[in-house]
Amino acid sequence: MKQNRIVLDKEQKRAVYAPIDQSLIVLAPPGCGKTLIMAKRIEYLIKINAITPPFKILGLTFTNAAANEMKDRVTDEIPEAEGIVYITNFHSFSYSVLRAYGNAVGISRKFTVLGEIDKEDFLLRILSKYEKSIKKITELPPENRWCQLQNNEIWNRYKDWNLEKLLKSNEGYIDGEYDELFEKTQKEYQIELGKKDYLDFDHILWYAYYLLKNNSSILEYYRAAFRYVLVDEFQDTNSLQFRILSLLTSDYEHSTKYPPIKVFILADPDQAIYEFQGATPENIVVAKTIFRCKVIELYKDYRFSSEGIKLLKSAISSYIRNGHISNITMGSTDDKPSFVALNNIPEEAHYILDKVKKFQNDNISLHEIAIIAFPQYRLNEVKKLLDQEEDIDYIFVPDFRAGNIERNYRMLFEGISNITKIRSSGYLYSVFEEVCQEKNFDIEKDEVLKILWKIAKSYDRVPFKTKSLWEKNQMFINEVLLEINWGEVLRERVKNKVFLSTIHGVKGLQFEVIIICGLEQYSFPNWRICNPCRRSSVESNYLKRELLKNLKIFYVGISRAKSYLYLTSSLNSKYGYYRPVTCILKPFAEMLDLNLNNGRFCSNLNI
Amino acid sequence: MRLSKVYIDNFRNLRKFTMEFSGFDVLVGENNIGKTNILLAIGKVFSFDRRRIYFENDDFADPERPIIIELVFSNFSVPEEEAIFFDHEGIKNPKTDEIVIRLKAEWDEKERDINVSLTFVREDLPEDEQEIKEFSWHFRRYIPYYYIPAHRDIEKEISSRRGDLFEILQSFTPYQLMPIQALKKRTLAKIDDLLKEAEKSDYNDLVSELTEVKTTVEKVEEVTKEKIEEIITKIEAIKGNIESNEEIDESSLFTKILSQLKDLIIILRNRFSIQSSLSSLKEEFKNLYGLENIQSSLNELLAEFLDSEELTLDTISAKDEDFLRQLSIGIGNYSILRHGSGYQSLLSLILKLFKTIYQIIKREEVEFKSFIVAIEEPETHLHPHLQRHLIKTLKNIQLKFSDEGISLQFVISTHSPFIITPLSFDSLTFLRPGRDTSPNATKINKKEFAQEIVDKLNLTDEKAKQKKMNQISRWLDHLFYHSQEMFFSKCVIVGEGETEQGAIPIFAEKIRKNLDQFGISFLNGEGNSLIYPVRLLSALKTSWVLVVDKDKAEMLKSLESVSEENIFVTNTKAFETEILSTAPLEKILLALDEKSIPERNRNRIADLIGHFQNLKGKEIESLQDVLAYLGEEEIDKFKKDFVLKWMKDEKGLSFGRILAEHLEPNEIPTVFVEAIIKAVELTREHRE
Repeated sequence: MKQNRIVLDKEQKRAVYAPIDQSLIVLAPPGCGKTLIMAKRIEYLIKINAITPPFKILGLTFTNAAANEMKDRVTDEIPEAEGIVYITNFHSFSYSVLRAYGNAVGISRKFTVLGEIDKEDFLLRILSKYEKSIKKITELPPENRWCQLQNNEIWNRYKDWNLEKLLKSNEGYIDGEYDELFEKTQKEYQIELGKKDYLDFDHILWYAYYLLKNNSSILEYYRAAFRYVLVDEFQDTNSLQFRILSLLTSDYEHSTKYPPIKVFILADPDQAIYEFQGATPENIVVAKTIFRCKVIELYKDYRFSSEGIKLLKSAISSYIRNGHISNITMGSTDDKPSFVALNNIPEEAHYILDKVKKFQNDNISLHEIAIIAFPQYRLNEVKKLLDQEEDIDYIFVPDFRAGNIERNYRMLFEGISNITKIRSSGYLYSVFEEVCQEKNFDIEKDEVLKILWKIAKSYDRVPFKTKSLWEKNQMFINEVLLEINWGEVLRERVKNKVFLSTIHGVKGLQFEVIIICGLEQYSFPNWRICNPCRRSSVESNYLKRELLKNLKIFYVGISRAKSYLYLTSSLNSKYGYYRPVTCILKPFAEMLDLNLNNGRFCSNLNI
Repeated sequence: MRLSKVYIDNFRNLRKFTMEFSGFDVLVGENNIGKTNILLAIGKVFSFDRRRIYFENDDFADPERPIIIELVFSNFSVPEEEAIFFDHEGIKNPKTDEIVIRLKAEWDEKERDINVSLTFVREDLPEDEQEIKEFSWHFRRYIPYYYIPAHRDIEKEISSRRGDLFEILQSFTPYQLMPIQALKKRTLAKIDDLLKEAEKSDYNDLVSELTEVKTTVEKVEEVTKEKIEEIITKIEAIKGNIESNEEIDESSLFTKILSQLKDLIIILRNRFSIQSSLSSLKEEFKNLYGLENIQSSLNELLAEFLDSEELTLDTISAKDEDFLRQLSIGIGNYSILRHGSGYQSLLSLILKLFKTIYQIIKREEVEFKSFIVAIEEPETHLHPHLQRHLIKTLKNIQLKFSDEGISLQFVISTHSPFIITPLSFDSLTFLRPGRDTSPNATKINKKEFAQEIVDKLNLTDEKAKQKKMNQISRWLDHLFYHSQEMFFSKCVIVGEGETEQGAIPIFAEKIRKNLDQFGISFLNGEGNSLIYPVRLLSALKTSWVLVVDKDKAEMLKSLESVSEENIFVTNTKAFETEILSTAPLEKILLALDEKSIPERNRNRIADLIGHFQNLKGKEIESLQDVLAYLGEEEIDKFKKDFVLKWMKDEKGLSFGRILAEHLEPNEIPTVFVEAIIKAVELTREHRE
């Protein structure tokens, strides 16, 4: 995307050229050029010499990939930004703080990132000492474990407890029943991490926060460098991340040596879809007071060439905010996004395949088409069908989730680690190739391997060149495990393949064509909501809140589409149960080109 | 920020050498003790050569071991300084707030070469993790270290392009020294830059006005002066418009570039105007001297030899920047090159200092202003007053800059007692021979020193204690005014009075042990408790011998840590009696004669005549004439009742000298001879 030709509109200018002595929150819906605004703001700060070396601008994005993209974008435009702009994400930032000063909180600076799978293993092993139900699960073969675990009450409650205590820093949280057990488990887990020099994702943030909070000398070291902080995707930050941000920027409670630092926050509360991982969208409200922010709201969008998608997007956004569709001119357009309810899942898959073929004939590149669903399993049928098609390649984004990469390439990582333990020096990439050959991994045919190989090779260059092979490997593994959104990495590199993904997996990306499937009861929302809803076993306010969360996810899904949007559902489940069309679509029925195929919207509850 | 500590090992004569810095440090020590080596070692870390730091094979004291040079930085007072270190995340030790850089040079047998590594070190980490990062050259920029060597050549500094003067000009006026076409290009680039911004923002008015500015600048050689003035006014107007227009969000961006642009165009205008004046001046000169005619006649002749060549005669260059390369420095209407070497040396020091300071201040965008200047022997070629003044001025400069938030650290080596006169103990570091040939750095803390002495005196009365403290403190201050020499000595002979002070150096010469040759000074205890000098010299790790009268000897010998063999006790009660017992009486009388004014001698003679009958009516011209008339018994009485008294009356430096000059080596009291021989021995001892 060439920025030079892009002319900022009045609204965008208000954000980009806002006074620099004022903290800002920019509320920006999808498609209004958030990345552009952030890049332009950085460019502006540098051009008017608001930030000069050795001071830095800290840019915090949601993922590493987004950070890299932002870095390239800014340095392409203004070469002098190199050295002034420090763009990273919260996890990588915390990671590097601990790498530098972890000894100050009693952990080894040379820790290894513990992947999600290993973390689960560690925890299960501890819990099974005390809980029979968990012990049973650990005795199952790994492939059967997942399903059982999903339904295990103690496990789910532990996860909630951990989320509240750790990421939401909600120290007063009480489970009520298992607190003693959970306390014990967490302590043992932390001891185990310490013994093996491991840190998981959450603890990286946790330790970094306490490190900065309790060591003013180190906090000042970081505060001294940054004169301006920009944060993207702020609605997805969790409480720990927010606290780290406040330590770095504002003067309350701690350092008095440095004045508060101005922040520039980009957020879209409508796209807050990571609450299940501890994100607290309320941070936006808190930030407003703590940083004394002025709020700028952007409306205009540039992504959508389709009037129909634009209208649907505005309607959902209005619904999320106000509970109804206001001021939206209903149905005035003839390119309404289509919704089709198919009889069953295979039919739905065929319908989707036909669409893909049609676009392929119309010369739309395959990488501009994404087929997405809320639960991953709803993509299986499409995947099966695509496997038989010779002309249509696809990429299955969930394979690239950190956990899956960890699982799928375990042999590779172990092989490399074993060699690096024995050999002291050499090239990491050649060890990588050696192990690939030995374990029959084909670098040429595997996108992930290609990317991993590149990462490995980057550690053979300056400034890592002189490190020991073992250290290079550790940094390589850490980088791989720290990348939390491979979707963005893939979007950059993969060409001529259809993207199959969960909605979460395409967050922040855009495609010409979006097809969302599985829009029926028990898929979207899932059984956790549909079950109690049908039985009316919980209060409706709770359900409404949960449905709103689902609507936000749906909103993220549809706003990925630039030109074409197709929505599908299946009226019968795999096992023949009738599945009405999801209730979350119902308020927007008029904005869609509907083909309900004699089905109906689920109407247990009006969202 | 300050360089607060160094550790140097195995570099030349420095072994396990540590030294602390206070911000203004003067290194004092004898020749060859290693002062320059310390400054050089620090300089190695900040070597300008990016690719490698050179070590010679003989830089290694022990070729089997690595050279280690460690610099410790601390006192990061302003956020700017910490900000810098962020580019090297994790280098600051959070416990001590220090940054340590370690240089290690090792002989690599395989490569047959010296390997040099530079790393940041953090001592709060476990041993094997301490070397955390390679030192980056980028970092060096932020800790400028300037070394001003003893040899300073002003001619090189002012007349060469690589000299300091040209560098100074360049940093003051970069655009004025740039070739004029390059400046034009830069101006056009600035316009394009702004045009790009204006187009991006759809600011069409600005685009069209700038396009006009651009066409004018493109033809700047041809357009009239008025046209350029017009353009400058126009830019001023555009700037004003933008500032007052609230519609334009990016106004601060535009106005910033516009004012840079205006400055460039003004310089461009001025340079073209000077060039045109130069051209006409050049023509006028040509006419004045008839150069045209000479030139054509010369060319006629030249054509006979070289057919195709043509010769031109010119007086001055028409390029403005050429003039700056001929800048001359004058003091009092004379070129500096015609002044004496003292002025030349001082001026080259000033130029270097100015360049150093200015380079830092100029980097305004980098609000980081800390630097270290090492000056080797600033006293070179300067007379004593100027030496004292110079050091005071450097201190004042440091103060002045620190008021402006600039930390200027001086490390100065010197041999000159005059340099240290205006200083006090806290800025002095004494380098003394330690084990092998490696020096030790010693500092004296005045207060602690006095306290230590007082503590050992077992005084009970607080007032008395305080009084003693003040006395010692005054005595220490005093030393800088007339005994500075002792700080440069290898060994000090401590005696009790001025007469000794006069006599002992001459005694030494008589026995062929010239004190200066061995670096020995004499320190006059001046009737004070001799404990102070003994304590001070021990603290300074300077060897000493003590020549002391019998009555005080016992007390001094009883002090702990005082070796008896360094104390030489007179056989009698005082210097005078000691001389009286060994030296021929006539020589003493001769000295008294020479020392006293004639009238006093006449009185003395008259006095004697009153006492000794034999002398009555004798012709006595001088004191020694007396001897011819006195019998043995009378001589004894004469010695005891008169000579001794006279000697005490004449006491002092010059009497000591006169007396000593008259004595033969065998007539010198043995206690002095022994003391001198011991002192010489001691100076040799630490040489080995």
